[in-house]
Amino acid sequence: MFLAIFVLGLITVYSYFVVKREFGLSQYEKRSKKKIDAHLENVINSSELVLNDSVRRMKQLLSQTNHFNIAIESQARTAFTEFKGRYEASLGSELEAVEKQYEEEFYAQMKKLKALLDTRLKGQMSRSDKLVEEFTKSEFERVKKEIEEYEKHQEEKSAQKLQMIFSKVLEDVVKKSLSIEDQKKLIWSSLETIKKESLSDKK
Amino acid sequence: MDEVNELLNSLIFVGDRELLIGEIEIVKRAIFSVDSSQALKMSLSKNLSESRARVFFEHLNKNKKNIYDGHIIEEILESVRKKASELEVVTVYLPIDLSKTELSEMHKKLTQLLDKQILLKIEKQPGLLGGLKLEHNGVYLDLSLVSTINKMVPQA
Repeated sequence: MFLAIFVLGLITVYSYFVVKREFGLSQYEKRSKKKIDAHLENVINSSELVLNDSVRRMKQLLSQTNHFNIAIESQARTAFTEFKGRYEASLGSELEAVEKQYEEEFYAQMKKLKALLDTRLKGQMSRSDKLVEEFTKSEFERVKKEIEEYEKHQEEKSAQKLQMIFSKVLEDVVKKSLSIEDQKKLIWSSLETIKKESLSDKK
Repeated sequence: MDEVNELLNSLIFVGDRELLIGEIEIVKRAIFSVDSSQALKMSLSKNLSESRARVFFEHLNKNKKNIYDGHIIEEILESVRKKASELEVVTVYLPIDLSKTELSEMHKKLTQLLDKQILLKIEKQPGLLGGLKLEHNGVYLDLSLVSTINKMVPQA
């Protein structure tokens, strides 16, 4: 049975190839081919149209894209410029505020520094004044003392000189000037001036 | 006590007192070795100068009653010695020499001034130039010319 089926199959395949070799494409295939070709042509045509349309659209889109890009770029530039302007204005304002703050801070610090320096200067001046006063006082005292010592020394020197002159010449002068009688008169006149109290024992 | 003052009044200088005390010692020894006024007179004349012997004799002779009582005479003489010893001394510094008469006059003056019997001690100091300087009981009184001049001249 199996063999019969197998042989039958071989006969069928053989028959197919013989028929096909003998008769070529069937009419059906020819029509189908024609339809397919026509369809393919239609498809190709329509595809070309679609493609052309797509190209056109693409071009249009590209154009639009370019336009958009330009617009975007312009918008972006404008926005950037505005932002930049605002930022710069803001920055300038902030900078000004910061500068002002710094300036105020600087003046405040300067004021504090000035006050501190004034205080220190005042203290220093006070100390300096005190030192100058003490120095002046001590110098004045020293100079005064020196002058007094100098004057004293000069007086002593003068007195010594005078004493020396007196001691050298006085005795001779007096002795030559006063006679014995004069001396006696002096003694008696001195005696006359004595009072009892001046010779009393003061103990 | 007049007899005591008589002897004291004769004292002018410190040397006079020393002499008197020396004489008193001599007389005290003499009165114990005599037994009559004549012997006393002779003994005094032998030991003292004539004038001093006379003074002592006259002084002691006033106590005739007790002339031979050595203890009483000794008591009198001791009283004189004591009084003489107690006399205050005034030292007088002088630039020149003065005569005894002048010094006696000065003694008299100072005695009157101090109202008491004093003795003089004379010291010569030519440096005084004039006037005099006195010292009595530690009190100095400078009345010299040099002192007066020194007061006018500033001292060194």
